Amino acid sequence: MSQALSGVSVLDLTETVSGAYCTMLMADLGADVVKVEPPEGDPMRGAEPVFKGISPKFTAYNRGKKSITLDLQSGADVERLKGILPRFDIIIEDRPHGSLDHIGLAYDTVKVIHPSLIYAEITGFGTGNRYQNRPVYESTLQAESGMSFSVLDDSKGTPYLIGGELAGAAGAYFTLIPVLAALHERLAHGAGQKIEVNIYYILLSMMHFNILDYQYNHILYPGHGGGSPCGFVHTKDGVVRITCSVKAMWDRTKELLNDPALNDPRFDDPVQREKEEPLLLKQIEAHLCSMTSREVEEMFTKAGITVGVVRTIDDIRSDPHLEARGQIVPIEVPDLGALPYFASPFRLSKSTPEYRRAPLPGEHNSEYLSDFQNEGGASL
Amino acid sequence: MTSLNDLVVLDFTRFEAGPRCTYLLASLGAYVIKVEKAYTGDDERMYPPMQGAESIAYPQHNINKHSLGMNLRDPKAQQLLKQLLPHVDIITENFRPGTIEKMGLDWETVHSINPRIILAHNSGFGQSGPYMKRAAFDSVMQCEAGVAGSIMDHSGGNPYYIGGNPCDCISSLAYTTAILSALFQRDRTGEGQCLEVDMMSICTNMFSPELSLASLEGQYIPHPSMYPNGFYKDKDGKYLSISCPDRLWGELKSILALSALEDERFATRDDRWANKEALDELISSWTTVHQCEEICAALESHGIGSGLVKGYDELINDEYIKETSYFQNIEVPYVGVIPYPSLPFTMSGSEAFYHRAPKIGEDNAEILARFLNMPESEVEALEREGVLYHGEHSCYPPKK
Repeated sequence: MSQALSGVSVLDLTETVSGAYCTMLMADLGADVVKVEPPEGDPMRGAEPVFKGISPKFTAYNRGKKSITLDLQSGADVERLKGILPRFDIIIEDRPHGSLDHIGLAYDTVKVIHPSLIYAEITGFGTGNRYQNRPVYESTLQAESGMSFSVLDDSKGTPYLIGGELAGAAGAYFTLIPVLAALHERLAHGAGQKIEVNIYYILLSMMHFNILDYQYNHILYPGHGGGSPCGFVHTKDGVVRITCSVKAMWDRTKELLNDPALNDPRFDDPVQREKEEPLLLKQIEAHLCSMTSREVEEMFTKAGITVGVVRTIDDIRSDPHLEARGQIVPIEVPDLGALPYFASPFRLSKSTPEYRRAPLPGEHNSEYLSDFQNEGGASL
Repeated sequence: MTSLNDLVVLDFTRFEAGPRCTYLLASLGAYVIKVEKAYTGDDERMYPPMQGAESIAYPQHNINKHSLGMNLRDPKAQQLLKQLLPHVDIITENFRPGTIEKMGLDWETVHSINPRIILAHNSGFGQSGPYMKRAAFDSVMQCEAGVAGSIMDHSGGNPYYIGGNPCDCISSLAYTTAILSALFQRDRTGEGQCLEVDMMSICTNMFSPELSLASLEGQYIPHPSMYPNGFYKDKDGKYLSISCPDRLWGELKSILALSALEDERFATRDDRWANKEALDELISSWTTVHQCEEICAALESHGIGSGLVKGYDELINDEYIKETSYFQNIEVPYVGVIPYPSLPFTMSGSEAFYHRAPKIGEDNAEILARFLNMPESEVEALEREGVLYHGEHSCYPPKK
């Protein structure tokens, strides 16, 4: 058995990032993922920016998958899909509420044909409630969960959007976890089951300490984990984040910088430190502004102090640590050559990932839909 | 839920990124032995928010577990841990790299005692590489992995701190995923394995599209997936989000009914992004004369993304949250009943359950009787000797 999920077949009916990211992680782990696309191709294939007709966003989230094309608005194609269903262990879907029920692919229908199927439905807000039909966007989830509110503290009253598809990635993992548990359970008694994931609940649970702090202690902005000073300071070439959230870090920072202004006994009191945080950060900045961020990081790390360097993708893609760990891998993309992608974050001693390019639309029709004409010459 | 009820986890994790993982394993039915150091237990037990001397943060990620309190430096305690290994399926830990090995629980040793065991490491930067020794709080990872950088795309170049420990959370989920994958592999091969995840690899992984784009364009240039995609004030000064994919731009224009939006500066998404200040001003001129709930309803009826920026006070009283029974009321010893989150998924095969988090060493006798047939008198003797520990309060009185 070469990989953890070798031999597991996944029917991928997803069309958003959370679903695509989930099945990408499964493909990285060795599962056979078959993406069902409409005849004109998955909408994400058009996600801008597009180079020579190819969207790097699509190729990133769909590496290692296969593709078949079916028009799920047509009854005949839905029947074709039902025909191949027994070949799969798992369905992952993230379409708007009720879409699959509407075309006859509800769990209760398909479990009759395929009782051992594991069927995972990713939703924004769950089902059977007032929000079940709301359009789901990353910004909506960040706003409604209190996550945007948490940014207000630092940003002096303006919320900003967090990039990186945070909600999408969280939704992907929280789908995979119960799916893998269900796979383990199925080995014991053979039955499949339905899993429903609520992404809004995930973001809410992240914000729970803040909710509790407000509810029980009437603290609206709980700071940064209970200690001070914490905050961003400028260096010669960028910004670093000082993180004295535990007292030991503050003591070591004082010792390292050896500055009488920081040694003032009134700063022994954590309440006073929090009150004077802007002043303390300014004082620390005076020591660091002539150094590069990486010099600061090296000096702090040597002194046992935790610090973070604010980095953009350009900094990250030339990072020696990621390079040493082989965390950036090239994957061949037709017409564009080898593009760099982040490798799987799972390092299993007995499961080594193999990376394959994203499929052309319908590239695997002949393998799965024998009555189908394989349309040659399709492009990404 | 009972999917994993045949499994035993020996859990050394502390703080958040580890315990959130073993909370999920426990909630899926695994028997999780949370090994806690004598007197203070998991450092998270001192982590705010507090109620009196008790942390009400700690229980969130330790529901459904069993606590084994011990002096981890005592050779007798280390011997007990080794005796438990034949009964253990998964070992979890998030110490600094090298620590678990010093405790005598290196891969060779645990594997030789139990070839089916899965040893799972979790750390900030991984078990190798130049940054291996660096400690990583969530805020550090927000900076180093590009999360703070991603907010800069929208905030005019300033990084901001995000609440909710998003990097810890994502990391705990990837950790759980890696463990369950190794478990499924073991189910079919009979062999255990050693695995590791690290926050850096997990959090950067969210930026794969940006990485390949930066390579194609020679440098990183932000490309928003849509615009408008941000926050606007309503007439009462409350913020709401508006996200409009390209295919719905026409709909948004018709709702706002502002002729200035027909300007060619706003024709395509790239145009709108390039002229975002002018566009945001126009959109704000409309949002600031309406009420946020009305705006949200109008936009969503056309499929356009919208959301109210809710504060914690609003969430406590939120109708949706009440209606869906999001909060589970769970006992916290010496505090009372506190609301904690429901699991964000359901499984048709079994129901979720929520047993309160343990006190330090509360389950010493049960764990040692269950796996080692140890009589209660022996457990008590080991507690008197200082090998095992159980504490009444979840955090021990501060050190003298």
